Amino acid sequence: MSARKIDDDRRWQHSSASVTRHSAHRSVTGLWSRLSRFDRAVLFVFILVLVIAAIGPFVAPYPPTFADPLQRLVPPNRAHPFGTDENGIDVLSRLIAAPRTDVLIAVIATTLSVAIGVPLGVVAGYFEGADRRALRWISEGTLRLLDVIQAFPVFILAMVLVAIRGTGPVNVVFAVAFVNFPVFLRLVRSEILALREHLYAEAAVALGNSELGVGFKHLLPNAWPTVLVQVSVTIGFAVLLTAGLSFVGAGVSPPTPELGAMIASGAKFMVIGQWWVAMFPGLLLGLIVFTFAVMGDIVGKLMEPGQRTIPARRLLSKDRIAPAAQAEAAAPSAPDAVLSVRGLAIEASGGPPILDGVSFDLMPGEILGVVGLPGSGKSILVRAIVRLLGHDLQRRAGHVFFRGKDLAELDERTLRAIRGYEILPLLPNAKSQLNPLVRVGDLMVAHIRAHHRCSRREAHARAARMLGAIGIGDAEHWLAAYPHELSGGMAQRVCLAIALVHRPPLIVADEPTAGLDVTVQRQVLDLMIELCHQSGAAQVLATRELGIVAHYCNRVAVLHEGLIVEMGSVRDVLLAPRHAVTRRLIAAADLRAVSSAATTNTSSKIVR
Amino acid sequence: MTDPLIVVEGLVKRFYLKGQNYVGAINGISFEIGRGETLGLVGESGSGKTTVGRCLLRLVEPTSGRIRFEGSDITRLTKRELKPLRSRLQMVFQDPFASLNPRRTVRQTVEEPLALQREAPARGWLGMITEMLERVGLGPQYLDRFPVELTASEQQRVGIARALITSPKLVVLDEPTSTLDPTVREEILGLLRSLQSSTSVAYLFISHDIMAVERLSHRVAVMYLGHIVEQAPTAAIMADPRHPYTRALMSAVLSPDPTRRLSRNLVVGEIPSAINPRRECPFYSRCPIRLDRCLDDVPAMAAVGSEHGAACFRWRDTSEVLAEVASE
Repeated sequence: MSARKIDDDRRWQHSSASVTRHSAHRSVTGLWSRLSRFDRAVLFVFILVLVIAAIGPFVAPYPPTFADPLQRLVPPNRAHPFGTDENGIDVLSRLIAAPRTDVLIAVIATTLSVAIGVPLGVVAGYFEGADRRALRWISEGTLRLLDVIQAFPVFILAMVLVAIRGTGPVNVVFAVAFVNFPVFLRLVRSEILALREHLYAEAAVALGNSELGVGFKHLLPNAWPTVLVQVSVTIGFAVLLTAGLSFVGAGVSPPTPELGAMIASGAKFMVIGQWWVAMFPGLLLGLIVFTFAVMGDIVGKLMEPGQRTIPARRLLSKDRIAPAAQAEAAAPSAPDAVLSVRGLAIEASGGPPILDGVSFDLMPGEILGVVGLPGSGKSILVRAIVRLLGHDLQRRAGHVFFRGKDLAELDERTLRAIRGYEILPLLPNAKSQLNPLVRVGDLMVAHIRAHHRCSRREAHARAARMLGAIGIGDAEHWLAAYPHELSGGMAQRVCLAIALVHRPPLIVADEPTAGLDVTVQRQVLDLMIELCHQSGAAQVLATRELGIVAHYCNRVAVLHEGLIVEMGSVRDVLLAPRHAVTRRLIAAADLRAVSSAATTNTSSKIVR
Repeated sequence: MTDPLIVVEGLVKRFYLKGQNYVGAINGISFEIGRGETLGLVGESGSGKTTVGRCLLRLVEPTSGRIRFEGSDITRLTKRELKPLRSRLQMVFQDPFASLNPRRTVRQTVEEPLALQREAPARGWLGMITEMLERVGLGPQYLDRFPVELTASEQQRVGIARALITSPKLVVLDEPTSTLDPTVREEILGLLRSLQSSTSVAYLFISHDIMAVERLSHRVAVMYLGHIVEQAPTAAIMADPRHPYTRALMSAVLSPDPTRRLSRNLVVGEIPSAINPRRECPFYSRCPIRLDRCLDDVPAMAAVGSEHGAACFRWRDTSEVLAEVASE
């Protein structure tokens, strides 16, 4: 969720900058640039293997079945770089010819597995738990059948199948396909199960797609990347299986060049020192299986929906920063400030700056609202203070002083001790931040006891009082509940209550009420402000709702393109905005201003 | 209202749990929408408003009740009979990004309804798509873009284009602006309104944001726990809300004007669980002005005005009673 939010922000940022879009992800060079050096090496070997499989027998120095009785078991030498086997056949020539058999069998068998497994997987996944009994039964029945098939060890099953049908390449293909199709069925089923929950699946039904239409036309294309990764891994595994079957004599039999059979015939010479006969086919087999397995990852990387390449948009330049902000950046931080941010610049790795030198001071008990258009970097600013940024965002310059320490320079361990104890980060979707396996009560008790010396019983009683204080009745019931049982508003209030046990002097909040209903939003905000007042905590609050800023903040900073373009008391900024962006934000919010009826009647406390 | 486009009567949707338990998502609601009209359906999450929209498109099967749309009862149609109806009854979803298939280009997405209906010849599709995109403010350069390459605003415009390309009579707008930034929200609401005036499409606008509903709707229905508790023309309900819940929703909205005093939050707690609803006023547990009789009886819709109804026993003097409670 939070990662998505940051992602969203960035997407906004990029598109707001009228960037010419390069569809690099669809071009070959774009794909190539996504691969590491290792990936490229593997890709090279992979292509080499395919080429050898295709033309191997024609380029081998000797015919792969040509036996020279005078040259039996010759160690590697100039004429036979990899030696010869017990029949006097050149090992290198057989090696070059052999992958054709194994890879071809593996590819055909895997294709067959996909052809059977994938459609069945779509059906099983889409109809699992369906309303209609017949469909549910098809889905259930398929899965039980799979359980039976997969209960047998793969290799034994393949051997039995070949034993029944007789040896030979065709039967090996069927056996390998049969033991592998359940892999694809299960994979696709679980993918479809997850994908069918997506909103676009419902949208597709609403448009009039049939059930199978949704499954095959909408969901399956989104499952392909995962399937293709598995295809590559399975081909590698199928090569191994084919070689294994031939090794035990149940697969391809000599004199057809085949890796398993070659290893088998060479194995007996291993012990008497003639290592080359089995060693080289063994290494090649390992290399092929490894290459296909790694190719799975590479295919996965290439199938990812492309990210646009974004040319550098702007550079950090002094003249872009508003004079007032410049003055504040240059000024030393106020001596009694809780938090003092100086020239903070954040950039996406190799990309454009997202924050471009942000500076402000926060006094004890002060609540600073951060607003801006989508993509202005408000959420990034809040997260950057406590260094809760994704891996691809880095600080390029600036400092974040908190109680004499520069948070930007602290090591991760010291920072972790501060985060959550002295600085409380409040993010949207509180539910996802609570450990789903820990009961609400246990979590609260642990936090209370971490801070106050008291017995479990006292801590429990205190937790119950805290729940009452934040408006959650029936405390015992909710203390015994798991986080998933809470509603979003409750979870956010519990997070608040827990965090405030530590009486943090600073709260940094990023849209803490996003996704909550208006009535619940009011309750959470009222509680947050009340608790802030009690403990004297200062707060930085990023939000898109100017209404929240107007009623819950003292000061407001307007961010635009990573810069603070306007900052001042809430009244000054909202009533007499100077920057165009501020005016635009107010215009957008004003349309939603409350009509007279709601405000005429009641009036009591003002929460400021 | 003469000849409404869609008439919903006594709609009930229950989700059955294990044993005799069920979730009463919709507990017998009735409403109509006229041609070219917008009905706003407001309520908190858990009020059942989204389920209403999904029942209208038969994305969930209603438990009982009738939905008459252009003469036929939607609840009785088979899947096959439903298909031709889809082009006249469309939907726009809450999360614009999630409602678009990430592997389809804008063109493929907007083309799909045409391909499924096969009413227009395929060679005219591209022209229709380009024209539709233009009407939602997207140029032809968007045709080959994927959803990840669009901003949230552009994504929702594509969602709207997809819904409107078959010239539907009714579009269910399921919280189309709730995940959007306020600046974008305004754009999309404006777009929806201008599209309505040019095509006379009717909307069922589902939202938890009463201010957005006010902007777009001709009439408003307020939903709470599967019941419609108040229904009236927008101006009437905004000027004179009679149900305490409607008032609570309005007073919870935060005005961006810092000089305006914050009204007191009238309703505490959250919407209760809808499992096995009891026979009492659904709002009882949170109502600041409840009476004992509200426990015994579900208040019927009282006629406040000719088109204004409120399901509260105290509808005659809600605002005075609430003011008293608030001053205590």
